[in-house]
Amino acid sequence: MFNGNQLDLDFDQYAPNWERIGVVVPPFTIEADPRFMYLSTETRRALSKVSYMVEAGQGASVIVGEIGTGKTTLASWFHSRYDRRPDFVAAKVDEVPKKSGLLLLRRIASEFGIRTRRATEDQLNEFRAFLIDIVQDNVLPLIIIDEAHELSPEQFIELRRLLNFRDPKGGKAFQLILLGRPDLDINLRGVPDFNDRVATRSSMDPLTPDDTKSLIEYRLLAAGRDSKQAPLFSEDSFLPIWKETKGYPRSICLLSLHLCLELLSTNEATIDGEFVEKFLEHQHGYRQAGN
Amino acid sequence: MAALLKEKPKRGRPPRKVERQNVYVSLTKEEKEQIKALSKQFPKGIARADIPDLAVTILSTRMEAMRRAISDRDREMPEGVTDLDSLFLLWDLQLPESTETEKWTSIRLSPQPVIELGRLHGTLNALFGTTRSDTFRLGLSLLEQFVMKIVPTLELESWNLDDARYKIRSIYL
Repeated sequence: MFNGNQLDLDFDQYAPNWERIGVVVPPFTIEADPRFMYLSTETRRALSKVSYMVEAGQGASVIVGEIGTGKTTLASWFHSRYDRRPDFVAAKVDEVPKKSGLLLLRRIASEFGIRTRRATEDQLNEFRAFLIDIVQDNVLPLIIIDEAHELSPEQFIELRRLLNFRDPKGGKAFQLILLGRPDLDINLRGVPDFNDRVATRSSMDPLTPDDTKSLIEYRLLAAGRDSKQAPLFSEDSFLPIWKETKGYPRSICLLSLHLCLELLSTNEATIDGEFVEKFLEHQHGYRQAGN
Repeated sequence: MAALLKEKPKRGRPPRKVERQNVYVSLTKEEKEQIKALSKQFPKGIARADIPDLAVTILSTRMEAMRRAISDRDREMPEGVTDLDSLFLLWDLQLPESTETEKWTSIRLSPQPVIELGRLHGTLNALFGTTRSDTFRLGLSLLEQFVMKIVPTLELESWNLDDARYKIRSIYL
């Protein structure tokens, strides 16, 4: 039987020495962590518009973007911000159940802590009862659905029924944020009843070279690097990074992570343009390593 | 009886015309040109000196509309409005990016807009540390959007200052 203790391996010695680059946590994780969310102009536009619509009780908001543009991070941001507020209760659906409208309603219900039922009408009645409870405390329920391009027409119908619920003042009782790939826009055209209820649409586009630089610098700062220290990434390093990643935030983070790891394995102190070019030339398979 | 019927001084708006007051803001040359260009959009009833009044009125109206929209919530601003730039983005305005140097200049505001600008500056300063000049700049951008995109030019030509104030309030509130 294999036992790691018997081999007496010290795995810590293989862990990257992040302190050498002046950070306390890994700065370029590719997980959706709202603490590391860089606010590009497009992200701020989406945040301000969608949060306004949510708080004004306007119903459905849609955010579309290609893979790796930061939709899931944005979804986590909305969830973390609204769920801790006393005047909101938030439910986040990360993965849409296949096709069935009832299954989607049940998933949303379980996120809110509502009893799940086996018939659609019964489940909707549970939502009504839930609304009556929370409306007394002036609490607004918010539903966030990530990967919403996977929603089926049947599921859009059930979401529309939820949007038809009214609060005592006549406003929309449930607020909804849908985040998905550009297919979501196409799918919405197939469900005009729901599409008409969308209050705002935002798109998450890839970053510009300037934003790429700002993202990298922001991540290092958020990971604990002192802004007074000499820059870790020199000015000429940003353009090759942007060219390689085409400005997709997740790709930028993945490449930057590998560049940092490469730097830690050498005696170099900064990542400059030449360092990036050399890395890409010799380690072009870094993406597979990341996966 | 004669004493009772005699007209007493009324509360509220004074019977005489109240002069405008000087308010100091720092603007770039470009923004001063913007004020001039905006005044040309109102050829008959509204002069260049009225533009700051309208800029403050429109900002005050838009802020009031937002306050009303989210009045049931716990916060004064939506969660995603994190700085002054977010307001520019929320209202589809171009972000101010001028690299020109700013110069202190006086704008002349009627008594009510002076109070409104003070209130708006107070609110935005408490939330985002916004200066009075930046507050006015936001109003100016909103007025430009209103003139260029919201109202047809033909309709605009026949307005005076009171018409413009009334229209702004009726559109946004």
